[in-house]
Amino acid sequence: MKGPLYLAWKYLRYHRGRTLVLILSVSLTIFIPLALNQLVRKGAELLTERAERTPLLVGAKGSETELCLGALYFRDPPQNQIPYTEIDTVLQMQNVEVLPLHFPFQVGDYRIVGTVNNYLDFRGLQLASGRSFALLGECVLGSTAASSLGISVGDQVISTPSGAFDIAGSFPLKMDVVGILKEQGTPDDEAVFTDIKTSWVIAGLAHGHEDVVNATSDSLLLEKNDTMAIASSAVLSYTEITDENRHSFHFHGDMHTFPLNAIIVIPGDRQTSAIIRGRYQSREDDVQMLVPQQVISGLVDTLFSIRNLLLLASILLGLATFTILALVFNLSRKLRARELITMQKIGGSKAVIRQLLGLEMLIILICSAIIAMVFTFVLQTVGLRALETFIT
Amino acid sequence: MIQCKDLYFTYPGSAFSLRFQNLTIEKGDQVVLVGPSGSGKTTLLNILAGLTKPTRGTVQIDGINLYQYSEADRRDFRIVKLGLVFQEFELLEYLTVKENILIPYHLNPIIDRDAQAFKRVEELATYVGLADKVNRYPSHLSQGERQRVALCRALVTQPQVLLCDEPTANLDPQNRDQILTLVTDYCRNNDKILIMVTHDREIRQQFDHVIDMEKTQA
Repeated sequence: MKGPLYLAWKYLRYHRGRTLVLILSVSLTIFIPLALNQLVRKGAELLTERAERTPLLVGAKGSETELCLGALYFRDPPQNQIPYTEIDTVLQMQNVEVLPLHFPFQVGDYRIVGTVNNYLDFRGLQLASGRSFALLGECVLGSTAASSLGISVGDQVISTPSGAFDIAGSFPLKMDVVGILKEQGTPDDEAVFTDIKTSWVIAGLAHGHEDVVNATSDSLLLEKNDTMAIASSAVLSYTEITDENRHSFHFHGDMHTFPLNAIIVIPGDRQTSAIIRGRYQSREDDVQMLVPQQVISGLVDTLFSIRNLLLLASILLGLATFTILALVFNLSRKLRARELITMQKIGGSKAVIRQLLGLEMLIILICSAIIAMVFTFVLQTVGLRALETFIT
Repeated sequence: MIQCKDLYFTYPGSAFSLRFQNLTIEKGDQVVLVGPSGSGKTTLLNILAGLTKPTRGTVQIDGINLYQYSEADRRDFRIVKLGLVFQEFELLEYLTVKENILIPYHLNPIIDRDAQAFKRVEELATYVGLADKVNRYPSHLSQGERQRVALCRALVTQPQVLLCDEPTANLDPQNRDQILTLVTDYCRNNDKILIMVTHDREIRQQFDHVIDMEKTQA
């Protein structure tokens, strides 16, 4: 065995280019289905994990998947919104906690999530530095958002304005960063959390400006009488909430009609959960309540179906590769016929020749398996982290 | 000593046949087989090497009737007792000169690759003038050098008989003469039997015995 092994190794080493191509193609054939399986399994795990921790979700009727992905992973918000008053509807039930979510805006690539402080407790988010948001215009950054934007406590971030042609669009608001969260490995790492009211300020539902009632300059006023003052366009709206101007920020209209993208509902027990779900099922307006776990599990099922199809394709690809490999070996054997005959003439048995050729194949398969394992290890350490980032 | 008695060989369905009533080659003899293509030179060499079983007759080498044994036993016998040199050198391109010389040890565990084997490689490489090229691959050698490596490969197991099938056919006259001198001198000095097949009538003078296959078969 030692002699044929040595000769097989020498042959493969001498033809290293050809050998490398063979090894790589076989290792990829092994690696692709393994990787696919791992990626899908990890992806499903990541998707399901967060969904399982979110008992119920209320949002506008429409795509359940869109609502779930938006509220859980802060992807694009659902097209339709629900009024803030929906919170009161939910709270008609006792033993229920609600967490409003409003997230149409961004700071760069990071989603601004208008919510309440309890959201941080609900997700188990801990502060790495600073404190939680308390006042209008304050925000707390997820670890990835903070490190990527190079922001620390005491700095400021500016919300990204809407498109230039959106005349009803938001205006950039400068917010004070009062806290940075510890890394969680969840979508929260990439969020900018702020009070829901601050989010509404960005939406243009509240604003602050110079005091026009007590204005001394006539240029700021178009008209003024005992009951009202009409400001001119010269009145400056604030784009930053400071201690000095915070008192001047005010909401126009009924706050109960202000928009939310979703409400996370946390029932105290299973009975409450069943009742509240029943109530929403019988509603015929534009609001829906869903169980994220069920929605995501449907999504995961689809993911697994796709995986199975891809696995089947990989197996067929593998069969094709191994057929080609067999052909390559067969052709190689024919090309080496003289060499193999010489070996027999000078003392090698047919068994030794078979061993030699078999060992060449075995070395290629072993090397391929090792490389496939290395690839899989790299995927586990680097690729799955990338997947986490992608999903989150 | 090699003794062939009542040797007869024919390929099935072929008009070709090879006959030797009696052929005896003594230890230290140097025999050249000459004759035109198709006269059976290589067939006789293969029969003597244990590679082609004759249709009839016996081949005895050192008193051992070669074709009484199985193919595996003949192979073991061949690697210990016989050395083969081919016209096309038949070196393995992926092995260095040293590794090519040592290849019989890799192919058959019946012979041990001990320290003596490595010493013999050095001695043989020095003898054929390739001492400084033992780590080169055959592709970096000239035709003459390749045939010298093939010669070393045939001699490394210290065979009693050296069988050469037109070893100088692909060489220029200068290399041909060098190889011939190396082979005949080595066998003469080490008391080995040398049997060489050749087309080249010029070299027959250097041999003790000439077997003209054309005349023999006639």
